Amino acid sequence: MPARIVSTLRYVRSLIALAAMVFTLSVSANAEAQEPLHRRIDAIVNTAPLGPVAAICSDADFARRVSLDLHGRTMTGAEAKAFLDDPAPDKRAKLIDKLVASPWFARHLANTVSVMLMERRADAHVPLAEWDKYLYESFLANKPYDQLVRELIAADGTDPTTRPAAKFFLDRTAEPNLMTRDIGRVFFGRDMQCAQCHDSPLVNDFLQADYYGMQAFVVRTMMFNDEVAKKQMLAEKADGDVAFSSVFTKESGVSAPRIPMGTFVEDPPLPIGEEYNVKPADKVRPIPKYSRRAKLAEAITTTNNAQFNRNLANRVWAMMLGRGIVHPLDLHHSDNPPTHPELLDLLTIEVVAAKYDLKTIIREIALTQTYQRAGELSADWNAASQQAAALLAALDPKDKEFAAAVDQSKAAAKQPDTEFDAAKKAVAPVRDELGKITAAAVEARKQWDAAADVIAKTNGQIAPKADLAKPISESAAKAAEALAKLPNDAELKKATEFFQARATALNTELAALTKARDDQTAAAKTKADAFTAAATAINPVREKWTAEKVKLDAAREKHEAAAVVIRAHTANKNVTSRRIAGLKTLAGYNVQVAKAAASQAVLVAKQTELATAQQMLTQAADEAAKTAAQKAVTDVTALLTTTQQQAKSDADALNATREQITQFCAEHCYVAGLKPLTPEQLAASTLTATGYIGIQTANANAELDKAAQAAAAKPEAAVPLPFGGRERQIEEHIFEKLLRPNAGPFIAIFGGGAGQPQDVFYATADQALFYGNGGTVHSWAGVLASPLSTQQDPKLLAEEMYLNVFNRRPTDDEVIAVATYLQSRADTRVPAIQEMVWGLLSSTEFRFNH
Amino acid sequence: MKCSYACQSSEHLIGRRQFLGGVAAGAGVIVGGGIGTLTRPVMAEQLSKQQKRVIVFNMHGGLSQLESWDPKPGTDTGGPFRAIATSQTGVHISELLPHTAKQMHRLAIIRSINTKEGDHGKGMHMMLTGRKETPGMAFPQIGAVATKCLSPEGAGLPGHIVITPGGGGGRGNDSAYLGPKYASIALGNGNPPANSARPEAIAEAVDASRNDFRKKANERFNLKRRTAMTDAFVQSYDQAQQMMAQRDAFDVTKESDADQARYGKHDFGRHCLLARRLLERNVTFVQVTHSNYDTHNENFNFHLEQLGEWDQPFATLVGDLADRGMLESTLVVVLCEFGRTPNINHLFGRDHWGTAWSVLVGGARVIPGAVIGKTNANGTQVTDREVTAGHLFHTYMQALGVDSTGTFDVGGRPMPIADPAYSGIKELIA
Repeated sequence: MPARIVSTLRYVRSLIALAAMVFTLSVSANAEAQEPLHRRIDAIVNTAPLGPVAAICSDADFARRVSLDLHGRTMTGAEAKAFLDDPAPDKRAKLIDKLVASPWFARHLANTVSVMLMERRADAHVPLAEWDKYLYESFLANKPYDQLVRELIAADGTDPTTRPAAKFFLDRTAEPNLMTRDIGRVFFGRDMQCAQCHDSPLVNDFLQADYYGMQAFVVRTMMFNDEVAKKQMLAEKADGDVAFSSVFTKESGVSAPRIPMGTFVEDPPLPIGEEYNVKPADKVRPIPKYSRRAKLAEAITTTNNAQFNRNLANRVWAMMLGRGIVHPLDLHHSDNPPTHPELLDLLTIEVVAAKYDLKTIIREIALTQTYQRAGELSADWNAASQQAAALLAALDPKDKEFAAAVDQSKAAAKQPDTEFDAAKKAVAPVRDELGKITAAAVEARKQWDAAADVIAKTNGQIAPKADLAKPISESAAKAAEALAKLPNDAELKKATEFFQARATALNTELAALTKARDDQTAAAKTKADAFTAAATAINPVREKWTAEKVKLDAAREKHEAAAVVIRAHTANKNVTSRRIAGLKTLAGYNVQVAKAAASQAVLVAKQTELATAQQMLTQAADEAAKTAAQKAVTDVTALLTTTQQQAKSDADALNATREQITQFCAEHCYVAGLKPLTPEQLAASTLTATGYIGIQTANANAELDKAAQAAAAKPEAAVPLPFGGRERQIEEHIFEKLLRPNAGPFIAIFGGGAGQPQDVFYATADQALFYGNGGTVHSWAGVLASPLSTQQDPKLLAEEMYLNVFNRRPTDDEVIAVATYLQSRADTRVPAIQEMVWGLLSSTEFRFNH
Repeated sequence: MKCSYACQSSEHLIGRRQFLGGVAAGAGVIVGGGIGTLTRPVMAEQLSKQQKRVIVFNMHGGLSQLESWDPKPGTDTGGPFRAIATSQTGVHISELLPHTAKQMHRLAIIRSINTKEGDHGKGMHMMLTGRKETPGMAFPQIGAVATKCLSPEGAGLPGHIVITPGGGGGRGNDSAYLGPKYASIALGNGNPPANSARPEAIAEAVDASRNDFRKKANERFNLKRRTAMTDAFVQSYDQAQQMMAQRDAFDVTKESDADQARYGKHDFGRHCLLARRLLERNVTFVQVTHSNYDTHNENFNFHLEQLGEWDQPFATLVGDLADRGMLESTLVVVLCEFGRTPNINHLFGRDHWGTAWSVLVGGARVIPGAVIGKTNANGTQVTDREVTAGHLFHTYMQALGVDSTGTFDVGGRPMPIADPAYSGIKELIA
């Protein structure tokens, strides 16, 4: 078969695959279930790629990359050397297994998740160290992520053992909008900030009603100052609803708790007045019988949680690849669809199948070819450009089909929308009536309670008087008895009269109080009856409401089903449009190459022409020849400027196209992108490169050996090894003694603002000044310089230096550069090495994960 | 109005495409603060000619409008001070500001501010960000916004400076979603920015050679992996070196004795002179704080004393900017968190008051000598052209030639430059 036909067939096959991909709304994981996940990921990314695909990266690139992504630091020189020199063909897989089994992996995951959840907010009520420890131990024990999230949301900070988990809400001071926004962003990938005041004008899918549905879960949660424990805790009320109105449309609504697009979680009807286990009172932390926040912990990870799973899958992917399949990570909506919808679907299913064990998923991602791509594309994109033209031809009609489908689905949504609006209007008076009648019952209950309080108060007055009345009456009777026997005793008579008068007075008072109580009891009975009547009166209205709500829910269901269809088609259309845009650029690439080459050739020709004319001018025999030659020079020179401009503009355009294509390929994971090191990675890697990690490891081992010897001598006092063994002890030693204390300045200078997204790259002068003049990095460089200086051979010295700092061996050029530097500073060898190490630590190659 | 500066402007797009040689992939990480790499000197020069600057005087605690820009002598609320005529015919200000009075033909007053806010923190948030404090949201201050919109990429000196007693040269937390690149550097007590001096232990030649080694390492890596991020990273080191070379800019003692005397030998005088020095070196935004105007008692004595210190250095600076031809490109704002009550309390004080107060502006495209809005006879109400912080923020930006209705692209999210619910004071802008 002629080559052309073969390749055409391949395009057709890839087109079919592509079309299938684009059409797929959800992927079935069953077909290839026997294949390990990493193969299935690669199958999706590698099948019918839309552009050029990079080769697999070098061992050195892999070693540094995977170490940074799984352990949060580069390798030591010795580790890198051992890996590079290992001849085993499966050494990458072995390395991945070794890395994920280590406590360093738990630490890195804890750091990453800590920053994701708290965004470097200043400590408010839970110290960062306790929070970090909680996360570290969670990941060390492989706690499933959904369980972790349930703990974060349910914890109220009262129990010391779970208090660190309450940091998520406590350090946001239980501010309802802050909690709502961050729950939306972190757990659902939806930054609905704009929907706080109105349906988002920027994102069609983000609705104000969804925002307040989420807020309804946390609106009753509040801070409580426990004066005994001297700590802030979370408390919750049994009442309080969210009501909202749009600043644009003035449309208003109230919302029961609801996860976006999920089902409403209605409060269970509790008898009025019996909503609390502990009633609110001064200095008392109220505990409701039904907690909406606890319900959120449940709902977020058990029901209607497709978006939770999707967001998690996307975030885990981004942890490894530096970019989400949906990007930015908190903007999941149909106008910002995934680059690979079927990949996101697959990962979502697998995250659930792995029971939210992040380690399993991360390990699989690390094993993919997609993760292990090189950072450079090969230079020749000719074939890819040709293929793009063919792919485009097939995609264009699809694009039109999707656009038509969007229009159709929008048209189809009109009726359900109208009906839903009507249902909302119809239900409003009933809802208001229910609200009013419930409020009346609550008020009646309050009055009844108040009446009962009055009776209790009267009873409180009666009891001591009744107590007193008895002995006084008895004394009066006894005195009268005595007086009968001694009728002339004036003193006794006086006393008897006194007792009688007191007894009469007391009895009168008691009678009055008793009467009052009877009246009060009667009044309370009226109040109780009124409450019963009011409470009973709710029932028919509630029934009416329930009936109306059934209609409303049915209308909403239709309305939302229509919206889901619109979103699905819109996402499909946007996926296709984005692919078409990329393919167009790629398809135009060959034309631009030809154009740039042509204008370059014209330029060279013109330059040759000019040279010839100039030569003629110098060699001109007579005045006429000179004039002719001069004219030729002038003419060519005039043209040359235009030609140069043309060549430059064509070259610039070609470069811009190359850049766009490279970006497109990076977005589609055909080539590895650059990932800036986080402040923690930067600090830990600098400490690793300069040898501090090695020194601290030795220190930790020595301490532990000493302890082990002591234990051997005195077995009864021996402390058992913690879960994770000695490796954990060493990691914790290094973290506490070295990494935590030294990361501070790096976080201050390289981290984003408190409470701001931390995934934005900033290069600022104060960072460079910190590296250059801060003293820290230069002095750390000195720690590596000393041992290196004992190496006399410049080649070996360079090798050791590059293995330590870059985890790779130097090129010949770099060896020469090192030797030259040493020669120029022969008198001060250690400082010279220190300066070179500083130079490498301050370089682009060190700053980025590549 | 067309934005002539960096906010997603064509200059930045061109800069983006000026990569030569190999291009490599960036991950999904967004490069904060635009990715313009102004490699062409011509373009940088153009920008420098159009370079706009801002100086804000922040009168901490709340300056009394009645003892400054909107005096009401002879009324029940007017207090003991007179109003005096100024260099702008028909405009009168308090007699506590005789030097400023001579500059009023260059400045403008907005007398009709009603922010309805009497809390220090909330008032300051409103006045510096142009937005009401909203739970769960943080907004960048005017200095960060101005720097983002106006500072040329690769400027050697930091673009956002706050001069305040106690400023230690560190980075502030006032740029919200615009990121640390646009956060302020706080200067005070003569301190330069942190780490801006080469340590004594590292000789100049050594510093040069280690940096040379660093640059060569960068060149090798960037040959294959150059992206907007690597460019920004490389540029940050160039910027640091430029800052070190221009470190004198932060040393006010380098100014002449005569100038030091004209500005006054006290902290505020030195701070104003430092501000001039920085503005002359094209620093985009300088905020000078003056404290404390929170005069719940002895309002009149305190204003006499405080404004007595403030008046001359401020007026000298305005005059100097005008003499140097810089005023038409430098916006001057005198603001605070709120004004003070017309009612004089039993301690001869005035309390917090957001209902009817004033701000002084001038320079850039502000119409000189203008007076916007009015209050009633005894200053208890705005009677004409009521504005609030949102209007003012738009106005500042428009005076600088920035389209305040535009948006920033923050990691793929469009964020309005100023609160879309408000607009600028058109009649104040030329």
